Amino acid sequence: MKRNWIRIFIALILFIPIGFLQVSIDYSKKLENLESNILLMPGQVAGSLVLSGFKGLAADLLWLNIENYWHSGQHYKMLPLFEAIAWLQPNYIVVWAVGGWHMAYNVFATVRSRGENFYEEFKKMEENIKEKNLKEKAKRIVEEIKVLIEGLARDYEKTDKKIEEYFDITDKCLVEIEEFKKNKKLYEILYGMINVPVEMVFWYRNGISFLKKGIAYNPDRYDLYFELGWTYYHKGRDYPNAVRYLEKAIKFPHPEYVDDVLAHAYEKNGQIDLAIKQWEKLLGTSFDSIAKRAIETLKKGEPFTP
Amino acid sequence: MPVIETKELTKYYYLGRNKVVVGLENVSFSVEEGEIYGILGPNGSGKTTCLKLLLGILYPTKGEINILGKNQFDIEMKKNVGFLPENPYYYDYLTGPELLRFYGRLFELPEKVINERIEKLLYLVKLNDAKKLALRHYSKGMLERIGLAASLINDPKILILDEPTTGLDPIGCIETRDLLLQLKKEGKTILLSSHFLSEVERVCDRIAIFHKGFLLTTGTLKELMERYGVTGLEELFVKTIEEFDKKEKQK
Amino acid sequence: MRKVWIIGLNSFRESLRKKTLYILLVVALIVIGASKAFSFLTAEEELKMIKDVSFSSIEFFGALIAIFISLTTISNEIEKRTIYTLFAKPITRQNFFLGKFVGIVMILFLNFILMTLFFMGLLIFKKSPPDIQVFKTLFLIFIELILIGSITLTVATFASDAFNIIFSVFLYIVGHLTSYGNQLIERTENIILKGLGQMLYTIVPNYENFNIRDKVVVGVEVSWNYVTKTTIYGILYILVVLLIGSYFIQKREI
Repeated sequence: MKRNWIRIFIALILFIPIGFLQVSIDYSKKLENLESNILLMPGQVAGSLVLSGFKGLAADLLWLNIENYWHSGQHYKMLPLFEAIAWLQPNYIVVWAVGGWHMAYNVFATVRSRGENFYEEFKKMEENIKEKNLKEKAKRIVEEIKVLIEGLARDYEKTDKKIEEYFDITDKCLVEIEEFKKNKKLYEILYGMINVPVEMVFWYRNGISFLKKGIAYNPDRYDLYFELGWTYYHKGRDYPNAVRYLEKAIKFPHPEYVDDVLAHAYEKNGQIDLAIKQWEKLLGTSFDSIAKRAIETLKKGEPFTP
Repeated sequence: MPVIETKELTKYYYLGRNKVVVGLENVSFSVEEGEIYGILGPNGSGKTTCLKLLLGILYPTKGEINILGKNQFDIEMKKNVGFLPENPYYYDYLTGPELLRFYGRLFELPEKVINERIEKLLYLVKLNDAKKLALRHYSKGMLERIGLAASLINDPKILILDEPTTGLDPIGCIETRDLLLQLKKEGKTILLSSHFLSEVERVCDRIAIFHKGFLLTTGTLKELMERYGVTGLEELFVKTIEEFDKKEKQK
Repeated sequence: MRKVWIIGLNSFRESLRKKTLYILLVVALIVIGASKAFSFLTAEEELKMIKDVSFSSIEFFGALIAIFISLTTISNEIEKRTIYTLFAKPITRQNFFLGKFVGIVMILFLNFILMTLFFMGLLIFKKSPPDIQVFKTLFLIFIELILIGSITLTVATFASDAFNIIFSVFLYIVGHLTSYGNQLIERTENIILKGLGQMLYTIVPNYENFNIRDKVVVGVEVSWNYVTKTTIYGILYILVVLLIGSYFIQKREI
């Protein structure tokens, strides 16, 4: 009993190895990507702290809400939820991929249909425009914007322009419709329609930056590099960037379709030799017959990718 | 040969701000083998404190305790001691036999012995009809009786009983008394505390009177009555306490 | 040692008779079972949902059970005065304390196993039998629960029930937040603050060490190295806590 104090003494001493172990554990956490880094997510610290033990659960509940909004057509409401889920569980690849896709493709589509509405409305109004000049001008602008919108929305271009070039057109159009201010209704329709491709590009860019954030949290897997590369390639027709990210993707274990997309991207980017080399990698895989045709076509100097 | 001996046993309670409460002050007494020794005193006189010190539940501020030649913490010594606390409750979800078995196992008694003793003891305290009943359904008297049985499970040389007849009806008291005398015949030493004077009178060989933590006097009833010139225990009790209080006032 | 086991078994039996325990267990099972209701999600999402809910429930309800059981196990003995009879027996106070600990481990294990089996059943039903990562997660949760229980038990050796429950809940919350606090402290320039922070970070139990749930559900693989380190951390910490508890139980006057 006189030695009772020894217990406390030993207990205190044991804190030393505990301290060292904790350091070692923290190091392991960083190494194995188990850490939840608070400093990558500033402003919402308080919320995070509260949910500390239950992030996965919270993420799931938010996911349910996303499903709801999607099915009821309230697309815009989904977006902040994507952010929230991604922030709760940054290693949940699906969130980043689906979120990015939603923004760059789906919301896109919603905005596009608005554009179609504006077009319909214009058509109705067309006869009522008295001055011939103005009528011609308005018609031209509307058609031009329509082409932009469809170009953005469709898989195959009606326009060959890069997305970045769109703003030149929309800015120009906005200046031109100043004349129509007298006719309030007409002005509104034109203004609304011109902003449609603007907004579409806005969402495309949102999707891109969302995916880039995802990559920051998951830099050691192919998934999001591929998603980003594909979005650049397919939506943005931004081939240099597409190649850049797809090249990163193939550095990690990846499925064959990633190589396939990279091969197409090389070609579109003008790097025919690299494209051929890439196709050669795909010989003997499930893409074998396509690869053979591609190599043959490219060697002849003809375009393979439509 | 005293089986229990205390020398200048003292217990102070320190309650912050220099306030000290005297639990026991310089208490020295001894209990001889085979006798029934009763500790009397009003509430708060230190009876329970004394017993708790003997059992190692409380730590003394000063003084020595000797039980069967060892100090109060000795594990081997405790195998020979049985204890019945004041107002026992026990584990209310257990049945009588289960309780006895639990304690029996703590004494490291062989299962066979435990089983035999359970039968014997339940019969002794007249609880063998209530074998399947959980303790939470026991009356106070029944609890006291099962407590007594539990204190005997290890067939101890020494029995320490804190207020063993509290809550018992007159018949229960008589039965307990008879039981204690029976145990004495078997050679056990019994130390009990009580404030039922009549019980103490009938059962104890020697008594000690406690008051405010002090041991006022000790001896056989006859000796004490002569010493103080009284004819009954009640008178003795009152007189010793009055004398003490007078002395205290004079200080 | 046998006496420790006897007391532990007795404690275990006592806990089994507590109704509150069953309520907590049943609620936990209901919550875990409810995770199956989200069948309108894709299979992958539903599986993740089941895992998330189950892990979180097992940890959360397990912690509640651990705190609840440990809270009352010693104070009940004191209230019912059974502790006097025990101390009068040929057992040491350490036997008593360790026995209580053993009892807690047993009851936690039982609850843990029940919830886990139910969870496993769900996984198998969903045709996704649990893999080694799931087992690692569950194992670490179990160690965490024992740690939580032993802390409450130790506090019970010297403090009142009221203090204990507030302290235990508070420590549960803080224990989950401590790594975040440390990340913030790491950035400060102030040496004193840093030193103090480091000390606090070491002393406060870091429950997040045992939390690999939100990573495992998204497919991050956790190494045995990490599991081993964290288990040793848990064991050492439990040892520290028990030593402190045994100090107080020895000193205590009742």
